[in-house]
Amino acid sequence: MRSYNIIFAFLLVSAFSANLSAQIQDKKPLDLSFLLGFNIGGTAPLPLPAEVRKIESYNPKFNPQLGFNVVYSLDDKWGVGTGATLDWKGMRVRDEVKYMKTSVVLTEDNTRLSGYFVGKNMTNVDMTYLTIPIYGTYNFNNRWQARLGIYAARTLSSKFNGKVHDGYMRIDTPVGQRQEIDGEGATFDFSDDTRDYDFGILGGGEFRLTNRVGFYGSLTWGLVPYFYSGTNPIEFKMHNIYGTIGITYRLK
Amino acid sequence: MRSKSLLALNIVIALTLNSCIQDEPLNREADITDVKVEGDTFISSIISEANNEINIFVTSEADITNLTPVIELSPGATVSPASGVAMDFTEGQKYKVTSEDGNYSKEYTITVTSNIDLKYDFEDWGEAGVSGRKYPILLSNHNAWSTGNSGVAIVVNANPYPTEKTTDSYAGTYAAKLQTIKGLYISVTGQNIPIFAGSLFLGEFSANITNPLLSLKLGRMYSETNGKPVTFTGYYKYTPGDVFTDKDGNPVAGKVDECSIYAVIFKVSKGSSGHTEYLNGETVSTSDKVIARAEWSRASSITDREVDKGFYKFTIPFIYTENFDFAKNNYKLTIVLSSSQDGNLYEGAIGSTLIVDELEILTESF
Repeated sequence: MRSYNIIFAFLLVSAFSANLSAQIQDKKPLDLSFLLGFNIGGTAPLPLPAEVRKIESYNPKFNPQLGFNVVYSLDDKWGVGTGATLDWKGMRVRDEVKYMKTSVVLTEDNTRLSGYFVGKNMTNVDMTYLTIPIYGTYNFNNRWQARLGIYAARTLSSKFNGKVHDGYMRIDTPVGQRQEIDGEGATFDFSDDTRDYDFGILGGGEFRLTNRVGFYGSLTWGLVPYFYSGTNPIEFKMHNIYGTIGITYRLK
Repeated sequence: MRSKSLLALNIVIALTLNSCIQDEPLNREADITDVKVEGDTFISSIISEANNEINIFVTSEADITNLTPVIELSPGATVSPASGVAMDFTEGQKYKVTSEDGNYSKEYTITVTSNIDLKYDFEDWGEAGVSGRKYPILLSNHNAWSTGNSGVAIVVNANPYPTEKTTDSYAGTYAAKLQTIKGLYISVTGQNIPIFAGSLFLGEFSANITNPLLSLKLGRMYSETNGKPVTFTGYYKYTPGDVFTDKDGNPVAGKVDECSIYAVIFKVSKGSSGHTEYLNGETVSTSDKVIARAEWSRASSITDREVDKGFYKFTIPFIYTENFDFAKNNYKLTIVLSSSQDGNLYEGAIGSTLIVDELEILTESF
């Protein structure tokens, strides 16, 4: 519910900005554009830990980005920019793992079975963020612009769950009691342990097709681990690493 | 078209990611997975993961002071003393297994026993599990018996556990007490388990939360030197619980819980060491490997005779559908006891209590 309120407020601000830009339309240095794109990437440890033995499939899901950019030109070449975007990020990965540390919630009173899992794993990530970037811009020419900067994001919702199957778990330690997990498998859900903000670096560029319409691409790399360090349920340090491609529409 | 190119993209990404796969980590497990001794005197072995004890059964001709164990381990693990080294087994010997990566180890005690005992007195009990989750295990008959306690301990520190010792015995100090206890909701599988039935059986238990029937690995190697089983006898008392519930926990009016007590002999491949070819909770009633059964039922309980201390003595003949042929097969024996006969389907009555003592398989020579 709270996240809907934020989305609504965001749309309101966007509309207001559009209005504002209409008023300042001839004051050249300020450049406002709307953007619509798609996020493709992963919430993953990098490099891939040795525990991951094989990626069987990867589904980037349908993850839109929508928002606006405001770029202030300092001179012909250089500028600074900011904006706001609503980002859906997520993925579904099926892989084979060996000794992946995990814990499955067994009962309503939150009894957890923790240990080292060997077998097949499916991880599903679904998140929405409100992202504020700050970056510098450089114009190579009328058409090409490069960007480099940082971003901060507020997590509006975050789901990190999945299941393990066709394998076994050694409880507590790799030489602990062996627990077969096959058939339908066992589910895990670490959504509650995910960080409620993200912060990282971004880089990208934009190609202007016409005065109004352009294409953009960017890469955002989260620098803070996806899980709070005290509660990290799966040993690996996961980061949000997502690329975005889309179109921009500049208001004149 | 679009979905095809998306699929192609996904495949490309998956392949790219696979190029980032690191070298496989060294194995961390340190199990003894199989043990036999060289020579014709070997019958079978029992590996108890609950307390890291291993028992090797040999015929009475074996020289216990000079036996050469052949040990199979988790991949890459090493053992000291090494496999294939002759040892004196007058007393138990300690074997330390170290994982391939060198970071984990387990110490097993291997003891050797002549012949397999077909008398079961339920006198020797111990504990296994981690602190805070200690559950009872039966040590008698060289750890040949297993229970579902370790599976219950995974989800709840039960008090009491479904299978425990009791001083309410027919003979000796202890008997085995099996009782059906209240279950719980297992959120990981979305299953509501209304009851856990007490169980005790010859074989192994490897908890399978997703299909409990497959948790049972029934059967211990049977030796030709023991002779041909003729009757299965023992002492029991049974009190069914008040309210019988179905697998969803709903009361079933008028239904009274029943215990199960039966022995089954089934064939396994010639030369099998005993750590493969088990029956499970399903196949024990359906498998065509079964050659003989001795099954208690209320209908056949005419052989029951009330004896001392509220116990009944049962005497059940083995009914054969096929004769032993040790030239072609090896054989396994299992005895299965439960406080609720449909307990493995999670049907039964909380409070049903089966106490058993002094079981025996009576044989005649082949």
